[in-house]
Amino acid sequence: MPPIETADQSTPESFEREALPHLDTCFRVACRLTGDPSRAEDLVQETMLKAFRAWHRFRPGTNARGWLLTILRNSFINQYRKQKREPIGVDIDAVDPMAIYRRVGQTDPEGEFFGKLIDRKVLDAIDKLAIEFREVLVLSDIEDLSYAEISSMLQIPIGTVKSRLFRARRQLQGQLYDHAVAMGYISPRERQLQ
Amino acid sequence: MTKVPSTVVDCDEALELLHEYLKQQLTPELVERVRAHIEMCRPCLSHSRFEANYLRMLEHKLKSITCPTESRERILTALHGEPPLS
Repeated sequence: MPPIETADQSTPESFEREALPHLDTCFRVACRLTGDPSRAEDLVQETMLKAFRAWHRFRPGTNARGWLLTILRNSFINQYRKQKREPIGVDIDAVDPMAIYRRVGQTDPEGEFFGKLIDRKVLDAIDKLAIEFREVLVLSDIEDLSYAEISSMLQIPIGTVKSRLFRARRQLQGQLYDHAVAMGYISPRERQLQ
Repeated sequence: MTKVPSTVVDCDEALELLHEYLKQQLTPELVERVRAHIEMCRPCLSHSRFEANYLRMLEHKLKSITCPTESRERILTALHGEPPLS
């Protein structure tokens, strides 16, 4: 039976090898959670320090990225709760839930207008989503975590991950569509029936 | 001979499963059922391309963001200030 690798692997070298390559991922997620690069840096630093101190509890060969993002997300939620003192995930839900494709499918079936959007505008639109939608969207659609990983990280059922993602994508597409219309990248169309 | 999936999904089911299909989150059996539908249904194929472009755009625009060098250095300095791992 092979030996179980645990604490004896917890060297600074193994931390450097397994945790530090995920610094950029942590920074990207932190930027979207906090909406501010300087707060994101603080959050990543706190995450890395906590991870370093708890490195003996990490099982080598398991998912270091998921482990770090869980620490990051928990740290963020704790701070957020302290600062805001209000329930997390107020649902702005101002966006029509109809799929944007149904509005632009005739004029821009390939969704070329997405490519014309300025990066900053896409970031701003993501940052406007309620936190519970924003976090699943960032983890799934930008960082490519599986639904199962997100479910375990957020401690919510996979069905909830799916329904939040569904709404997050619709809300984001709605905002991007409105912006693209305002900028003249696409022509507004009368709403079509589903 | 190509194996034909036992049940092909309809348009509503295909669109409900579309993002999971594009994000490769479905079981191989469901992948085949959705693929079989999309390949023979032009409106769903078109919708699928639209959503795939949207997902590609998001990843392309956002994944290029990296931790700035100064931030990285400050974080590494903080880590080096930690007592050694026991």
